[in-house]
Amino acid sequence: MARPGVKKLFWRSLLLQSAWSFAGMQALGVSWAMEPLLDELYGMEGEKRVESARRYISTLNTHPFIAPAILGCAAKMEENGEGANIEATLAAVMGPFGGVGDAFFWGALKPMVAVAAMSAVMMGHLLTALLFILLWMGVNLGSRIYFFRLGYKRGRDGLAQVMRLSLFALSRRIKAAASALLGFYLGFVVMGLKSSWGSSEWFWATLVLGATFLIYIPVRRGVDPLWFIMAGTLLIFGVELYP
Amino acid sequence: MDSNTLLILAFVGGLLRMDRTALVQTMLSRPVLAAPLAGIIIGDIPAGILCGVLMEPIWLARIPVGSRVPPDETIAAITAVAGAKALSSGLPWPGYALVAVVLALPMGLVGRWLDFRVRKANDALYFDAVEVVERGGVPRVGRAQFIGALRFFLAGAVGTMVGVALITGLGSLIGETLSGRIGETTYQMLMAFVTVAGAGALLTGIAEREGRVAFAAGIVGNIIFFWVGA
Repeated sequence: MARPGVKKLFWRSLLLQSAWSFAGMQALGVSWAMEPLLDELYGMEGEKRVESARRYISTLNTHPFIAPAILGCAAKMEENGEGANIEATLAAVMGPFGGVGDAFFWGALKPMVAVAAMSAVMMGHLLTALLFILLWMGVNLGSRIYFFRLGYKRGRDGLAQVMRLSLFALSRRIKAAASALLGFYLGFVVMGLKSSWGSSEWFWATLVLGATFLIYIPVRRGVDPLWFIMAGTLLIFGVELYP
Repeated sequence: MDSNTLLILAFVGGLLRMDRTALVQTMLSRPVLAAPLAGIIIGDIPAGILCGVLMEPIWLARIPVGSRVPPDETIAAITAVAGAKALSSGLPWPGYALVAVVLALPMGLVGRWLDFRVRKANDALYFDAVEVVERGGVPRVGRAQFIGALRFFLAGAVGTMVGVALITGLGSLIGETLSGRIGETTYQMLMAFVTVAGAGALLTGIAEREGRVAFAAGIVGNIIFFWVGA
């Protein structure tokens, strides 16, 4: 049975980024999350307590869904009296965990869910779209619980296990699936263009595909899509208003 | 738009803005949900759904890596729905929602600027905590957490309020200017263009080599899907 400070640590880890800053990034969130456990272990003040506070005030930034693994591991290490080694552990894993979390959750899973929801809306299934969002919320909370338990139960071995989960490889597959789904979604545009202007669907499919990659190339080089949309709208309306 | 609706939208904008960073990162702040929610508030759900679906992919590939702050689609999406309401008196469906989306996009950049300012302001909270530790004390950062979260809320609320007020004024003017001068086919073309532009932008984030092939296969798959269905 985990002590109250550990349970509070998990719930507080959900607000890791409440005071996100450029200087400390998630450091304040980490300090706040660890407070109850450190108070429980070392008391409210005193040299040991100050020393423990110092460990968690260093700049920290990682993915918020995987961060609970680090916090769980830190809790275990504090309980085992290995506090002095925590700073090195945090520094070693925050970068890799941030990279893998960004690639998997932000870069692959979130776009996949968003495109699935958009496609469902296009097909008129609003409740299905809502289900996809609920699924995301489940993954969000579920992965935080999973990673926290992994870190707390297995300590540093748990952190190593996170890196062995092959999330990078999985994110590549999810991205490919999301790309296919995005193509499927654009298929609705192709069918709409065909029903409005006639001609074959293959003609419109080629045009849509070409236009997509025409936008893809400069946006990939850093141009904000906003400027394309504004310029394109002005052009489309300009042709109509001033033929 | 009456002042009560403006305040409700600003409050919702603030809450949803917190979800992006300060709270739990559910997808409530994404346009695909935020815009329909705004649509319910202003009484035009179809406009909310359309604005959300069109805006969703535009900046989805801009992920918050490290200290990078992406454009704020939440503020832009709510602004777009408010703009749709303002434009609906002069323009037909779905034209008013389409024009509103285009007009609201710059608010994404304004929101990003506000976000940047909040994160910069939060630096002082962090330095205060570091100073306490350096003086040999134990920092109690609960208040700092609250202030940080409150700042994210206020940035969202203020950004939404400014966006909604601006687009309501501008929307009526543009609605009057365009009223009766744009044909249905032009709106259809704009709809296709904005959708394709959003897809092209999103593709930059998800399509590695095999993804580009999968994307093309997806379009073909949809056509076959409709053939089989027919």
